[in-house]
Amino acid sequence: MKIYFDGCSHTWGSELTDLNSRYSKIISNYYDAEEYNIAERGGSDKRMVRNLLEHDLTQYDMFVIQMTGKNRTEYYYNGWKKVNWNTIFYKVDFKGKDSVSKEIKQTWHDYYTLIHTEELADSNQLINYTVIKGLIEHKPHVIIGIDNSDKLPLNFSYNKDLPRAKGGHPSELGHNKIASDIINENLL
Amino acid sequence: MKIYFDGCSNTVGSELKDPLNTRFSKLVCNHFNAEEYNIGQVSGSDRRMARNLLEHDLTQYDMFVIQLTQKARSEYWCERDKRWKVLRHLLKEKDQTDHYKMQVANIWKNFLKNVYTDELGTSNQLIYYTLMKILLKDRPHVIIGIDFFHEFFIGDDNNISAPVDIRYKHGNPKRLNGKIVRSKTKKCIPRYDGGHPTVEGHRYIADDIIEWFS
Repeated sequence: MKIYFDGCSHTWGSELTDLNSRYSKIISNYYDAEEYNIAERGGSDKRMVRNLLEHDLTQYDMFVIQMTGKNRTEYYYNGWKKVNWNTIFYKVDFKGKDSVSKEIKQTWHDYYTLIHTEELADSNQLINYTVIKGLIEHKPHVIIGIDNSDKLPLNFSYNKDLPRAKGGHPSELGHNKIASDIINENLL
Repeated sequence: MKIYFDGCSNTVGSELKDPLNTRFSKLVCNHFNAEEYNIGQVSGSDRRMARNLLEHDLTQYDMFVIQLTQKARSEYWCERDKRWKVLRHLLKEKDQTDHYKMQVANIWKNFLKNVYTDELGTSNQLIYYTLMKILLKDRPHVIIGIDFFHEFFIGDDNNISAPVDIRYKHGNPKRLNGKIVRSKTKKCIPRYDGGHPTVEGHRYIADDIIEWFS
């Protein structure tokens, strides 16, 4: 048995001292299943959709997708790169300090400043959610949200009530809560 | 019976002298004696078509025809005018005094130049295509794609890459005694100078759609 997990830093296990205590591992241990966790820090909903489209979904018995901030996205430049934006900071994933990298970063800055809006972000989120749901609807699955909009009909949406570490990611206790919520769905 | 059509200028009927009566959507509706609901838009994007489907009550339509377009196109929500608009990198002369529109156009031009890649466009188009297939899975539908040649930054990489049901490629159709030879492997339609299907091209597309549904 193999369980597919995707999400952002919350699902990756940021701020945990041991990745064995992340919720994907707890759930996989419970079902005696192989944990397939491809979450990444800074990951976007678009990345999760692309990942589903690039995988053979028949290879997995259950899917757990953790949707993330709607202002994130990705672009392709020698591989897929992450873009993370909020009102306080923005981060464009680029390594070089050459002129190409600077142009890319400036373009994303301008894009988020003038073109990106709440309506566009909401619309993107609904598109991504609908595709995710449609691709895994015939398999046992849960779609959860941590720190994102409640506008989507997610199975679980965690906000302030989830125990957190200093940086805002779920603490060990928080991961336990997410795992037990998902296990209690009795999907398998 | 009511048939839902969405697409770009090809579905609008650009360059036709009498678009409302000779575009493929009208020809298909005439054949099925159906009401035509055509919300194609000049410079419309795949993203707009996906959003339109999410915003419509799909139970009101009996068939769906979606025409995918250049994958580098997109749209944005204009806060000033409170509506969705086409992202353009070039503006008509009358719009060039509009500072806001000029700013958006310049950013989009830089986006296409610095950020956009075929990988991104292909990935986006596959996502929109998949969404359409999911939303229409229990309803009679066909998704067609028409390659176009406009887009000075991007060229051939702007062609349809999603696995559409029917795809029209660049090039002139083969003819025998003046009549188009209909190919199942490489479909080409006669086009006007601006690249849009001629009256004969719209007839060709309509016949393909009618055959698909029949």
